Amino acid sequence: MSRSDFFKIAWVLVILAPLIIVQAGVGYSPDWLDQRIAGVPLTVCATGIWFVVMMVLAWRFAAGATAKAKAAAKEVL
Amino acid sequence: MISASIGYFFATILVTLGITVWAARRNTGRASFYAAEGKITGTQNGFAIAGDYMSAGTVLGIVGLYSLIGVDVSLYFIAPMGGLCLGLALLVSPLRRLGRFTLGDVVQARLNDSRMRLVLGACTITISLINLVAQMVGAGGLISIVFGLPFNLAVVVVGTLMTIYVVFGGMLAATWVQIIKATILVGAVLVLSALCVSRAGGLGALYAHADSLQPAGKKLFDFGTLHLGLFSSISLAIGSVAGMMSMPHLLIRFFTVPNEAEARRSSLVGTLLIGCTMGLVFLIVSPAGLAYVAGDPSYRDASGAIAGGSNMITLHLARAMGGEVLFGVMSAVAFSTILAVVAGLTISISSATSHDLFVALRKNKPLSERGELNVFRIAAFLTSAAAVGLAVVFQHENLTFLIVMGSSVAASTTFPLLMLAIYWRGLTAQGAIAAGVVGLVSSVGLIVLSPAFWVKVLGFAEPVFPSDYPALVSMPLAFAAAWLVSQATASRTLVASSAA
Repeated sequence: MSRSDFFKIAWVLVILAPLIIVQAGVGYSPDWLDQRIAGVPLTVCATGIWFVVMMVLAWRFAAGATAKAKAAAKEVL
Repeated sequence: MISASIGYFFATILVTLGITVWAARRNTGRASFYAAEGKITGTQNGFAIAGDYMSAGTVLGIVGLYSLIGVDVSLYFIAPMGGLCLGLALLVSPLRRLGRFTLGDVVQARLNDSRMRLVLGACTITISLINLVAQMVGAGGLISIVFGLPFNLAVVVVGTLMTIYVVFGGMLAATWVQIIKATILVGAVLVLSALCVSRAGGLGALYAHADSLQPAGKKLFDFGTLHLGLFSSISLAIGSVAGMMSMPHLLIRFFTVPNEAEARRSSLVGTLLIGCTMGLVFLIVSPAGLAYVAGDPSYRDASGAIAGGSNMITLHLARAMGGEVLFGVMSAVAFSTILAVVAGLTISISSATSHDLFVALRKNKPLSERGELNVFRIAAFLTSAAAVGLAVVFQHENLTFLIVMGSSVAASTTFPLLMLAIYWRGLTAQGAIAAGVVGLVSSVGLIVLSPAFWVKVLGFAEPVFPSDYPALVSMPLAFAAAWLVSQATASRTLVASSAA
């Protein structure tokens, strides 16, 4: 497993960490998360952002894996 | 409700059986039945992966759960997406490179020990059977409510259909049923979401309406109302990430594409589809369910509960937004979802039985291709019978508990086995066997000792293990067992291979 693979694991865990903490119990989430933006709860907006970040991460990981495979194929040639 | 859905019900059966007949004519041998001959494209497989993940339990169950615990359901969505991302980065390419039909192929390719097939086969069957029972329990409940059939008859109908799909159509039929179902599901969720926002007059108005109907003291849009505690929260997240990376019925889908590049493409397409669809379910469909169904007394029965149970909220919402047409389409989607997912799980169990367990038990006497396919078909039949029987026994069990149980077992067995086999050269066959056994025993054991089983099922006053989510303990135990036993047996393995 390369160093970049460890970074990928760390990225996912770092992104998930705040969600894990705020879901642990009532006292774990900061007060400002109770606000609303244009009527939509900030907790819902934050969750929406988590969805988008995960999809972007998947796209980045796929691009990285493809580039790595192409480089490996070039080396073989 | 019954008359509106009956046409869609039979249309779904006819279409899926038509696909099975088409696939049966194309199936030529083992490669067709196990892996659709590797001829599925990356995009098609992405739809099939998304379909496998977005089961009836996920889509209908999560909307129901949202009405009880609110935004706290987000961990059940987002942690598995983290697993999909890491799976794409770390597992998909080596898995496609090393494997042919089953996960046993992958570990056997690395360790060259037939006992590995036995361990992987046992783990795959345990995980897939737990998931299959969960799907069957959900299916029986849903069909009995929508179509007015008794629960036992409903699971027999599902069991019979899934046996026909798998025995005659194999992976090709299961994949195309899954692709069509995923396409209709994504479309139905899009239409339902648009109708909900349009009816409310905007997203902010939708949340304001949902908020105004919440019972006093219930804050469904605040985090932490589930009171998980830090240990359970971390364990649930880690178990969901690792479990998602190592679910056998999802991983064997990567053997249906021609090469590693297509496998990566399918993983990306699947992740994006899941993210977009589940994002809409979370952001729009679930709060709309609160606003237009859970908060409306006309959808409640005499006892004050949602008519048909909280899993029916999505279907009630479809009727409220799109009338009988959208209700019928959503019912058909729910039914086809059940059929497609149980077929995929049955293939996972049957191929692990015929290609891993049976081959390992016969040691150096491989079966002919025809013989192996006969074992595959018999295993499919027995799996269906077992799933029907277990679904009847566990029909009152909590679905989320069963699904989390499957995920925890996968995180503690197939996850360490695959990661170590692919990434750690020091792993010995004995170390891998130890990891599989310790992971399986500890995860299942801790689930039995958890509050959800020890207290709620067995009726004891206090749980022995304080959390319903054991992955944070059982997964490190499996890794530790692999490391310790591999260290202890490394020199012996080296001597044996030198002597050979």
